[in-house]
Amino acid sequence: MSEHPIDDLPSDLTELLEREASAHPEDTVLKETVLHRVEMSLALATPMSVAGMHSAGSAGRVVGARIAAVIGVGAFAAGVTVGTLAANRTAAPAPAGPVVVAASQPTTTAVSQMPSIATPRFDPLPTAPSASVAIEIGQPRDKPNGDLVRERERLDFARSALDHDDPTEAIAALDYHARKWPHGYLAEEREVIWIQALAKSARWAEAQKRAAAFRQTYPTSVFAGTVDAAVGPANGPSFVTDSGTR
Amino acid sequence: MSLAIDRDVAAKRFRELFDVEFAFVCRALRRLGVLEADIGDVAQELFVLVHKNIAELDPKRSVRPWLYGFAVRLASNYRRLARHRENAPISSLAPAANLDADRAARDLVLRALHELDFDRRTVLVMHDLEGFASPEIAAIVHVPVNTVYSRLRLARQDFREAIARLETA
Repeated sequence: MSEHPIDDLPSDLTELLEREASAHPEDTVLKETVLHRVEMSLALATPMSVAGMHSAGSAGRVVGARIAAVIGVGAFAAGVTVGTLAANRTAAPAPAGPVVVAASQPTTTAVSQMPSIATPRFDPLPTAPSASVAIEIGQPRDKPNGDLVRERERLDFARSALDHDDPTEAIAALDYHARKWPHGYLAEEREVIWIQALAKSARWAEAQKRAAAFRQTYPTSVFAGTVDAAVGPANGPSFVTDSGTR
Repeated sequence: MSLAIDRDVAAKRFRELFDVEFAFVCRALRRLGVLEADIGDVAQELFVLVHKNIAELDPKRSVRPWLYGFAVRLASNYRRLARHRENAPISSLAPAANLDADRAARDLVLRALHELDFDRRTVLVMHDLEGFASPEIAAIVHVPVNTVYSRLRLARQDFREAIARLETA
């Protein structure tokens, strides 16, 4: 065998390939969309990893943020691309695997070692915070309009607050998100956390109404099981009341 | 505790990798035959795999051969799907109108690549477009180095013929 068993590329092909190899412009919209979808996929499979991803993207933030919903990952491990399901919100079937609310998800960090929740430093909004929780969550858009990094920070905070048994603080952060980015990249996740926060606050009627609106808006959401786990199945027995007894 | 720290490190590494290499991954998938409309889905699948395997990544070594391993595997699976075995929609592969010279050349290259056998195409893309060395390619596609050389020769021949066909069409 010679030292250079491959001949040089003919010049005409070289020119063509060099043109192809020249820099392609980066599609930033596609990039943000794919990152969002990857995060959704990972949130379903490994909640702590995503919390870490968020904290990695914003140094100094609370690291204790965790996704409360964990989907059974059997299908994922078997090679089914859950992420694709997450991406195709309106076309994909609902996940078949069971959904478990991991309210007491074991962690590697003792609660006493967890950093306390910092006071949120939200930018002022043009309108005052609403006194009541809005139930209309709007229709999802093909092209979300938001700020993925900042949205993620708000939802991180909301999750963290929920983790620290402070649903009121979580709802405040979610309300901020809803007013700032009503059709943001993470609108679907916001609604899921909101429903969980309402359920945790024992505001059952509001949780049920928001869950109904969520199911209508996102009929094939991969978070459907998570919502069911928080407020009960859509067609199940009505076992929640305004008085808070389940 | 150490697990949590490790996860944070892994997450940070993943995010950095995503930010830097997203465009490279999309370009690789495109060259390996993934149609434009499907780039996002396949890239998503790839980065989920990357995240799951991020602990295996040696930060002292180049990440691109490692990424290419995923890209080749996913592009191969993509190709096997029945919906992709059939002829792609003409609109996906027909020459686009009103392109500037560079874009027209790239368009021609991609269409010619699309006519190649997948294994040959992979070697041609990795060697002549991405600049991987033959031993690297052999390691990524799990074939002997001599097979890489053989595929590359044949791929160039096929590629040249495809270009000629497309230019006269």
